[in-house]
Amino acid sequence: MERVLGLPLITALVVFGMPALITLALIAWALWFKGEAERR
Amino acid sequence: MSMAMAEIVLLSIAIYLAIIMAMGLAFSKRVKTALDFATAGGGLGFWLYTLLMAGSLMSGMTAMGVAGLGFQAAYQTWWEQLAVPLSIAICTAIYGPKLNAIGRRLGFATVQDYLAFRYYDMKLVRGISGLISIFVSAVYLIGQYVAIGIVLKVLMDWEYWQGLLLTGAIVILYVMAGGLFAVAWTTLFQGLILVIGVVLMVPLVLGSVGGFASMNEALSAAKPVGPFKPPGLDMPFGGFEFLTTPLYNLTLFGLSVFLGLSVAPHIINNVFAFKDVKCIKWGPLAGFLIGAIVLASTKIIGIAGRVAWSKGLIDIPSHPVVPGAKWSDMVLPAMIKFAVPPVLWGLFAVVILAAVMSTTDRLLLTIGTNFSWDIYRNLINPRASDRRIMSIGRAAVAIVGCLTILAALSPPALIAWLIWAALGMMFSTWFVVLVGGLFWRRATREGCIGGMLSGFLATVVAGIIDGGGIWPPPLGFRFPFYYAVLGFITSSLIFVAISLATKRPPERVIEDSLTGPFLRWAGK
Repeated sequence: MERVLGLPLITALVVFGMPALITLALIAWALWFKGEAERR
Repeated sequence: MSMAMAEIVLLSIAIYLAIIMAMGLAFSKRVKTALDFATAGGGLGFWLYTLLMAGSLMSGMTAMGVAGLGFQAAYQTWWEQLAVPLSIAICTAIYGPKLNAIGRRLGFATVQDYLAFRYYDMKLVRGISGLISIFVSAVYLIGQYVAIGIVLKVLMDWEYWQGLLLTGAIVILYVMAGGLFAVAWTTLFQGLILVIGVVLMVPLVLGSVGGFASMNEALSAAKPVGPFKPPGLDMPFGGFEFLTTPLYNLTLFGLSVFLGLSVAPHIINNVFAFKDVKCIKWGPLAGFLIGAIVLASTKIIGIAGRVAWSKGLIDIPSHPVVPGAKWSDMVLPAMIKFAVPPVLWGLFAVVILAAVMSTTDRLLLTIGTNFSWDIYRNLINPRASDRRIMSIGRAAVAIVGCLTILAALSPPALIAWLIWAALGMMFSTWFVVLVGGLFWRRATREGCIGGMLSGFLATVVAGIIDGGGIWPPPLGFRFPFYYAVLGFITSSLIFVAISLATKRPPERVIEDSLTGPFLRWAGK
C-alpha cells in the first residue's frame, strides 16, 4: 500500500514540483531585478 | 539495417554538414574583428542570447550521457535536470550584470581576460588558468567523442572505433581550416535542432513502453544493469530511491555540476554577448525552462529505455571496457531505433551530431586560443607574429584532438562520469576566484593563483583516490560525497587565507573592475 501510494506521489512531486518551485523563484528574481533597475 | 536506411542516414548527415558550412561562410562576412568573433559584437538580443545559452548546454553529454544516466539510475538523478539548466540561470543573473558591464568598458571577450585584469597579472594568472582550461576541455572532449562513436555504432552498424576516427577527423579538420567563423550562430542552430528533436521523441518513446504511468510501474521491477556500482547511484529502482544518499547527490548535482557548469568557459563567456537588460531579468527563467525541458525529455527517454530493455524489447550491447556491465550510454540511439520510424533515423542522427559538434568545435577553439595566446604568446614568445600564433593554435588543436580521440577509444562506464570530472575541476579551479574577484574587494593576485592551483590539484588527487566512477578506487575507499567538493573547500580556504595575508590589491584595479558586494554597477 505504502509503495503503491508513495511511488506516483513522490515521482510527481519531484518531476513537476521542483521545476515549478525554481520557476517561481526565477520569476521573483525578474520582478526584483526590474524594481532594482527602476530605483537606480 | 538495409542499405537504403544507411543511405538516408548518411544523406541527412551530409545535408546537415553542408548547412553548417554554409552558415559559417555566410556569417563570417559579418565578423570584422576578433572581438566580433568572440562576442557577436556584444549585440545579442533576448531570444538570441537565451537560445545561445541553452544551445551551449546541449552536448554529447546532454543527449547520450543524460539518457545513459537515466537508463542506469532513473529518477535518482532527477536533480541533474534542475542543476544543469539552473547553472545558466545563475550565470546570467549573478555574474552576468557585472561581467557584461566590465567587458563593454574594457573590451573583454572572455573570463580569462577578466581574471587577468581583476588580479592585475597578465602572465601567471592567465598562464595557469589557460593550462588548466586546456586540460579540462580535453577531458570534456573525450566525452563528446565517445558519444559520436556510439551513435554511428548503433545507427549505422559501424564499429565503434570507425565512427569515432571518421567524425573525429572531420571535426578537427573543420576547426583547423577555420570553420568556426560563426560559432554563436551555428551553436544556436544546432541547439534548436536538438531541442526540437528531443522533445518530439518523448511521446514516441513513452508510447513504445505503454505510457508514463505504466513505465513507472515497470520501473520498480526493472532488471539490474551490471556489477559496476558507483556510490549513491547504485540503488535498485522503486519508491523513494531518488532520495537516497542525499549527501552524494547534493554534492554532485547541487554543487559540482551546478556551479562548475556556471563557470565553464563555453557557458560563462556568453554573458559578454548580450546587449539588453531584459537578458538579465527574464533570461534566467527562459534559459532554465528551455534547458529543463530538454534535459527532462532526454532523461525520460533513458528511463523508458531501461524499462524497454528489462522487458527484452531492445538490446543494449555489453560495455567494451567495464567487464560484465551494459553500455548504458547506448540507450538513446537504441531507443531511436526502437521507437522512431526508420525514415526519421537520419533526422535523429543529425540531432545528436549537432549536439556533439556544437560543443566539440567550441572546445577545440578554446584549446587553440588557450595554447596560442595564454601560453605561447603570453609566456613563451611575446613578440610572435599573428601568423605564427595562428599556426601554433592549429597545431595545438591537431595534437590535443588526436590525443583525446585516442583516449576515447577506451570509453568510460558512463560518459557522465567524465563530464562530471571536468565540471568538478572547473568548479574547484574557477568558481571561488571568480566569485571572490567579482564581490570581494580584498581578493588578491596571490590568493587567486593559490586558490586556482590548490583547488585544481586537490580535485585531481581526490579524483585519483576516489576513482570517480572512471576507474576502481586504488585504495578500495570511496568518499561518501562527490570528491570535487574537497577541491572547492581547499580552494576557498587557501584563496581567503592568502588574500588576507598579502598586500591589498591596487585601488585603481578594484574601481575599474567594479569589484564590491553588489550585483550591478549603476554608475557611468
